[in-house]
Amino acid sequence: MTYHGRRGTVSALSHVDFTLWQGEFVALLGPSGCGKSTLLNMVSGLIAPTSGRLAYRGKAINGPNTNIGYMTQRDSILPWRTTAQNIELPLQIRHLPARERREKVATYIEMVGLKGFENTYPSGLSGGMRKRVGLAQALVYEPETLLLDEPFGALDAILRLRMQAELLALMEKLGATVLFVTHDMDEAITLADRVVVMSARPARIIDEIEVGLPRPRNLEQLQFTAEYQEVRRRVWDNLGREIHSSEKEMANQ
Amino acid sequence: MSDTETLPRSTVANSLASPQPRRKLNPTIKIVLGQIAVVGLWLGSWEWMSGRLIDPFFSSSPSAIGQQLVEWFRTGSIWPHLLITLQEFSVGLLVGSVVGVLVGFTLGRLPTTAAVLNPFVTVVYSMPKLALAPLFVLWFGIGFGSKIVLVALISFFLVFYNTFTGARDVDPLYINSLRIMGANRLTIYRRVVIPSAAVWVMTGLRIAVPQAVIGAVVGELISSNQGVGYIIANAGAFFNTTGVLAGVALVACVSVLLSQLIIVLERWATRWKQG
Repeated sequence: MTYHGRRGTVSALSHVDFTLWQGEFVALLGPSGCGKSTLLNMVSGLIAPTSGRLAYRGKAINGPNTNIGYMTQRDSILPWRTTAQNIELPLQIRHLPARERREKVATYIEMVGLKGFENTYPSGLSGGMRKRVGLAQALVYEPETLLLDEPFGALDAILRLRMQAELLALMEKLGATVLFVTHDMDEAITLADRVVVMSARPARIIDEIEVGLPRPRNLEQLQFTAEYQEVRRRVWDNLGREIHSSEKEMANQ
Repeated sequence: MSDTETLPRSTVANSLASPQPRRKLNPTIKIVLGQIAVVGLWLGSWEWMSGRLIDPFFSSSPSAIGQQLVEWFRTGSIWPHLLITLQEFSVGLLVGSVVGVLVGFTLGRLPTTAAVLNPFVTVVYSMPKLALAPLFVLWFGIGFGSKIVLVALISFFLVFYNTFTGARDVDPLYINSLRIMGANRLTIYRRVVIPSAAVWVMTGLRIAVPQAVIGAVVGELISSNQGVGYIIANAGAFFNTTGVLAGVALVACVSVLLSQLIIVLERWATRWKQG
């Protein structure tokens, strides 16, 4: 896998090689357990690749990459902190003045629809609400790059659509770079500029598809347009081939 | 219950739909009533048997023990002893748990050192510390010192062991999440390791409190000239069953009260768990 910044170059995970350009929204689409999360852990600098290279803005990643906001698949919000305290945490770490912290926290709580739950501990929130706290926490310090690992998987359909729209609007406003992991084909196409399709283990990139749908996108209408259906067919062809080959592999074992 | 059955259908449905039917006894009240019944049965049969089936010289009786306790507090003769025992308990517990927390956090975050020390810690942990009490008397005298050392040692191990486990088992996901946010070591300690291990520290304290009370009393039993343990030992030397049992009952009551205090503290410290 190759991860380029604006001036950037190379990085790798075996047989995975691609570049993420600044301001780009890339969706990593692949079956569960294919190593998508491992890939994000590498980009975040939490784990080092055993072979190959990985760079952020042209520099090799050594240790935690603090230019990013990372929303992991498993809840990483602290259970002993309330919603507001969790969202405030990255701002505290960055030593923002208290007033500014309060304002930002209020803005993002409003954005993820958790008004009224400011002082609730995670144990008192539903799974979807905890996800939203995590998202607000990753967004609140407005990092230049966002790594999102199936952030909306636990949400119901309506909330999911709302959060997707909010995310898109915010990304368009901030001009942030996003690497978005999902196993939902429609989610990948509606959100991303480019969909990178990965195979089952061992992880390999099967195809990269430029979505090319214009922005800003209207998520409610998008799925009914002909262009959308066209992209969807291409992604589906790729996934279909992958499903057949992995079925064959299973049969051979 | 039986009159519910005779009510018209709709009323039954309503009472089922309401979250807590009024006629049903609250489960907490049921439990408390059960507990009162157990105590009543126990003390009642003891009182009845004493003097009828068993010589009160051996068994004393609840009423005699109660009279002794009242006597102690009416004349105030027990207070200096009780205060001494409480002092031994609190100073010992404080020293033991502060050191236990510090060592526990340090070793918990130094896996290699912890692995080296692990077998030795297990050996010392498994030692019956109370058996060392005579040695402590030899080393630190029959006064305050030997009891504090004993109580501190007992509480140290209970608090240390739990703190150590808590500090070692912090979910790396939380630590990584803070590293990405740009937190340094100190911040990670303050925001993640300490709050995460706090639950364990509280558990250690909760276990340590009754053990520390026992430590103080046993220390006094072995040799001393003051404290509730001394009162018990003294009564024992004169075959005063009532005195011994009254002393034991007093220790048990004090221990329960102190434990309740810790439980309140623990609830507060882990209030985030209740949602």
